[in-house]
Amino acid sequence: MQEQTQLQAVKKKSKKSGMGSFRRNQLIFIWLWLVPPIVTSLIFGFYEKVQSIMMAFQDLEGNFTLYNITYFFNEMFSQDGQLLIALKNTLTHFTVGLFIKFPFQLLIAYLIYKKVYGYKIWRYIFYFPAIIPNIAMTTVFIEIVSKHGLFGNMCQQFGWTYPADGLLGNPDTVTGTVIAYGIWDSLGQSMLLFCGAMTRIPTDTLEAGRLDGVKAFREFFNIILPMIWPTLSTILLLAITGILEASGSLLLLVGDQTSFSINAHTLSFWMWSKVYAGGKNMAGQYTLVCGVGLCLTLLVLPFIFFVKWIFTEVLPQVEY
Amino acid sequence: MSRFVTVNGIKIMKPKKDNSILIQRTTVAEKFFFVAMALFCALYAFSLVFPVVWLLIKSLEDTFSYDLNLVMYGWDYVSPLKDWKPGQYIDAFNELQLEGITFAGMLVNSAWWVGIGTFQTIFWHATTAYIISKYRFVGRNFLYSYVITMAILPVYGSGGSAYKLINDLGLYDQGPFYLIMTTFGGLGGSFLTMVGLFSSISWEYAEAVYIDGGSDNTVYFNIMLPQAMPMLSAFSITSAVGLWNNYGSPLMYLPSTPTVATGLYKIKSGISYVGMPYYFCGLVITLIPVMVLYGFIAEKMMTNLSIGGLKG
Repeated sequence: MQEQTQLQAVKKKSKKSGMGSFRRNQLIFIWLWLVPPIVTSLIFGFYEKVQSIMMAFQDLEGNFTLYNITYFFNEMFSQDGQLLIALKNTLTHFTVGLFIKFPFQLLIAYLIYKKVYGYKIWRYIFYFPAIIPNIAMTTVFIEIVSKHGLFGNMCQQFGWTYPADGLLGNPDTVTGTVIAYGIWDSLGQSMLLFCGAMTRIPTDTLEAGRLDGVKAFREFFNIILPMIWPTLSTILLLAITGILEASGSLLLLVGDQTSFSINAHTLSFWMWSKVYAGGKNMAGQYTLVCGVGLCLTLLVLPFIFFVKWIFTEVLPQVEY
Repeated sequence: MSRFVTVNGIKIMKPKKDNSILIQRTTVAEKFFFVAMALFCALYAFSLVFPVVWLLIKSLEDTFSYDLNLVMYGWDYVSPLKDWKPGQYIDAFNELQLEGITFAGMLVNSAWWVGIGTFQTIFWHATTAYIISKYRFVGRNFLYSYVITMAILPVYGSGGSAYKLINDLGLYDQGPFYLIMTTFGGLGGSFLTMVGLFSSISWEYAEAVYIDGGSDNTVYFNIMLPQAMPMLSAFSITSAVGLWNNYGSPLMYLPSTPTVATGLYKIKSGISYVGMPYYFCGLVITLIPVMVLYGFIAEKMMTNLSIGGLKG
């Protein structure tokens, strides 16, 4: 009470000076520290996106052209078009991510939450893929699935036909192998978020369910899943709205130097390789990437807003 | 170990360490399911530990044995542990070179990449989050909505625009200067989580500082930041690990100053020839800092973390 009076006295004193210096100093503090991030965000966020839309209609010299847009449609409607292959691979990665990776991530988190035997050790190990450099994980994976690697040798010992260039060197098996790596690498990915959400569930609720005869299966689908819906829906929403960014560790597993690797390309990898252009500065087709990106954005934007509407306005929200 | 303890002279059975509802398995099917899942977890955990152990073992193999073992498995396999060469780790610093840049040089590049990047990212995110969460001013709600909108509104292909922008601003291949200028932003990434963090810190501390004649800078740097330091430390370590493992941005924008991750990628891609065991030594060396950092924060990371819903 005394402190409140003192604080009001401080504010009154500054107001009496006629300048409201307390509030003025506060505003100086606020804008002094906000200006750098706002300017950076405007340049590398807002302006970058606006420039991307403008560059969609430019060639590398900055002249107006519709080539980038027509290229997109030509590639999409051509049977062997690079973009069509990349789109198919991207949708494959997305489908696998949504229907295989995501449920398994949920399962892993549920097992840790339910304190499966050894959970105290597993939860540390399952986070390894997020800690260990991707270059290390992919190097070991490449060695193992090569013809002379551990897996390759095992398959040949059993008399199975193994591709001469390994699973990653064969056009028929490369996409599946990249997806398999992606699944193996990501099962513990959202473990912390899901476990954190599950931990918030009051145990009284679970005990009440048990008293009513609810078994583990029903407990998971009728109690746990609905109660972690805010976290679940946020992660699902971010995953679905990133549909065209679904990809794997293509650069490390396959690289962009071999001719067959086009069979494994996803949209985001295609865009990256067009800009990177083997590392030669400003040699990439960055305006083409902007044009293709704009077309993809316009294609998928209605879907993203629809999904967001479903998740936030239609599906019931849970708060406790 | 005895299952009994003596309390006030009376011998009683030791209570189970964890008697919660979470470990109760009521039916046979449930018990069987969780045993099977424990085996699944053990198998998956083994598959994740295996690469680390495999790398360690292979890094001790000399080049001749490595080439020989490419075609020999089973009884003829030459175990690297029989004739291991730990001295290869020293040789790796000479062998792993990329266009005149030594492995030690790459480590130095990684050090400033991680140091500057972590400080800039955490400081600016924390500062903007603190101001947005604690102060009311014109434009506050707009800024908050802007962050949410930018987070969920995709513009595919903006990588081409980003590349041109970096070149137009003269930041391409400018080493630390590129990193400093591009990491002033505090309106992305972990901004939303930090808003929640600072919202939970009482404003009464600030009022006490005002009464004592302190300024808003005093409140932030002397009171609020130290209060948030435990969580910010965890964020910092997570950010540092991510930056250490990041090979894409240095590959694209800093060709003359490769970090360890970028350098090892380029070496593997065949630009420079090196014996694979030396390469494995390089990979193990890159593992050490991140595993040490993980050791510090692992326990803290396994506590509650929830990002909640996203509406509006």
